[in-house]
Amino acid sequence: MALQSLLKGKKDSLLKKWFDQTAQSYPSQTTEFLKNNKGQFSNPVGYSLKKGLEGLLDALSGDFNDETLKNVLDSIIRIRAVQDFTPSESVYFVFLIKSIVAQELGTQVEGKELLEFNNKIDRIALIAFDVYMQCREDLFEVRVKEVEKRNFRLLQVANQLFELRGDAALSQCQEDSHTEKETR
Amino acid sequence: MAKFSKKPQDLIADIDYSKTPQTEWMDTPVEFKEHTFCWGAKGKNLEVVGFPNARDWSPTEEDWKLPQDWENIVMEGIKDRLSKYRSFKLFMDICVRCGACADKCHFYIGSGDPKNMPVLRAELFRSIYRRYFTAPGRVFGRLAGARELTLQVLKEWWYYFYQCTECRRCSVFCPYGIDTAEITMMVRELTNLLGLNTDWISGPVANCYMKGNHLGLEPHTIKSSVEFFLDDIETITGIRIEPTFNRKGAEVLFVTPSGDLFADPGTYTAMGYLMLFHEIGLDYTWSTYASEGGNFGFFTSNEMAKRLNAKIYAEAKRLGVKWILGGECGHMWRVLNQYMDTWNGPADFLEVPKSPITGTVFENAKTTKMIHITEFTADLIRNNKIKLDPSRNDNLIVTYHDSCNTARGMGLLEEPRYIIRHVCNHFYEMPEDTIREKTFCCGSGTGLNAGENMELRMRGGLPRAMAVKHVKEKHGVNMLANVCAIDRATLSALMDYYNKGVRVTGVHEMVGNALVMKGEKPRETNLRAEPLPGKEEA
Repeated sequence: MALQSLLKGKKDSLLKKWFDQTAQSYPSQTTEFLKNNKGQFSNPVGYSLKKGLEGLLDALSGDFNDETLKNVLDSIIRIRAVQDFTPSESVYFVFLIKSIVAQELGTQVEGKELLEFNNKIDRIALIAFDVYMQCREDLFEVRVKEVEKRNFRLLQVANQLFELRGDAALSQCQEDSHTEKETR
Repeated sequence: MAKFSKKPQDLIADIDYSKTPQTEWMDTPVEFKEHTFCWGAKGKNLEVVGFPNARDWSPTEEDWKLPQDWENIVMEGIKDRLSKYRSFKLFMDICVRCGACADKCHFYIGSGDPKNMPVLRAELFRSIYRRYFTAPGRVFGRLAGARELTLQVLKEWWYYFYQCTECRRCSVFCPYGIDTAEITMMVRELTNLLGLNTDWISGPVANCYMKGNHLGLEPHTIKSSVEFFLDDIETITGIRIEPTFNRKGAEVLFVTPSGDLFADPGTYTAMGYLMLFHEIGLDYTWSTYASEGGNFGFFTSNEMAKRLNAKIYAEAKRLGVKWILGGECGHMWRVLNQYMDTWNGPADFLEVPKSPITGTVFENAKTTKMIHITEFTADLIRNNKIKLDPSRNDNLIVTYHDSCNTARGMGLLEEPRYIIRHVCNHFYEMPEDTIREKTFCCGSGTGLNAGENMELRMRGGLPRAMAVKHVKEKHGVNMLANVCAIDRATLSALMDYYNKGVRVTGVHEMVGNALVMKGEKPRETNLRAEPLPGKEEA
């Protein structure tokens, strides 16, 4: 398809613009850090963002399937979901590509192709919403799980006591019921 | 019916996604956002240890219920510390703001908040130091980087100095050797003068003061918890171990973080200790009084840390042991290795630790008389004193996280790795810049391992998680080993969020699994009661 090959041809400049604009969602000093430090481990946020956006561009210009999109979006959103962003701020970077493509490709994309491209962005945005929700759910699940682990042995002791008391209460109950029947 | 007054494009245009504040950092007040800070200390916990301004308070309330003359208290506190600690004064004066530390902090890398850059975090305090304690600051004020102490500044301190885990990674990169952890310690001391500690720190401190351990476990509870482990060990190995508690005349006193007694997966590490000591016939005792190696007092004030630490030597003296062996923990070792001797020593009633099994004398612990269990076990392995079957850990593809305190605080780098290489067959290091002296913090140290600040913890732990992700993808790593009780608890949460499928273990859990014990029955399961490799359901 024409759009796909256009996207492939302009991949580097599209990626740079998309990355730079997304990096601007951080305070200015951090934007510079994210852009300039290329280290995978010294700048994991910038690295993951760049890899993730590249993955999205690859999907837009090639194999566009939900599973791939989900994984790629997860690598970006899992980080943004715990940073100082509102839900919409966490996922808004998806929409930035619309105007970037418009600027870069201008009138080369129009009509049905443009509609199709926009539909794809909408699809990405919807999956981004799912991924964001999943991340937040994970966060709270992690918190609950930690409480359980923290108190595992205490719970074990408590459960044992409960079982012991439970058994005692049960036999007392059976005894009571037996006596009651006899009395009748 | 609701009426939409704006068109969609207008709505989007109204949203400002830029996070750069419109004002200079000095004029941008801190905003307390949910899930990024710990709850305030409870009055009863401050009162029990005699901390000032004991009352219940909440960081989100406008009124922090401060003493009337709180500014004076802070000023006197700074003055006192500047005269007492020359390093503090030096660190205030020598920073040239070169920025070498700026992008080395895990909280900055993970959050992107510039006030988490070590240089700027220190500047939050240094600006006050300049205003009130230097001539240029007094005369030129803001031009000299100085500002007035206000309630906003105090709140900003509280927010950001409780977002530093004192991991000291930044100091590795500082050309002047400024130890930002010490600046954090000082500011936390100042907040403590006003009763501004967190619930998660002050609760354990109060417990430790009253019962000897952070969890507030009483002697019978400690004993019954260990008995649970003994039952499990017997089920797995067929061997009934009978450790002793508070036994006078034992050769060695064993002290470990109390988290190992109750929190998974630390409990399996504790089982590993018990099995190892039984196997080599170590003449040792547990103590229900010195029942905590950790020291949350270290996150409040120097004096409190010293008070809580005192029980270790006191108990060693009371029991008449020869030396002390310590379990796997992080900050516990920063305290023991760098402070205990001068706080509560000299421990001249003890002997230089000497392994009764190998005869090795641990000269490195000549003054403290206390050694780390990985030093002890590595020595056993080196001298062929224990039989190990690493294939029992063949289901594990292991990487090792250096705890900040043991790595940077005491240089314990090789011993844990030496043990790991002998107890499992699949071990892969994380990238060089993320381990050893340059290790990334778990993001939850210095009492930040609470639940209410989980979002902050996930930011701080992000660099570590990304390094684990790398070895997970490259080598299939599924187990993250470490020698720290806080790591064991908090890295589990970090992995559950970022790297599902990677679990967390103490080094001595793997030792317990690999250890071939005399008279044991054929092992079917590991210490987690999971089938050993090759013993899965036929």
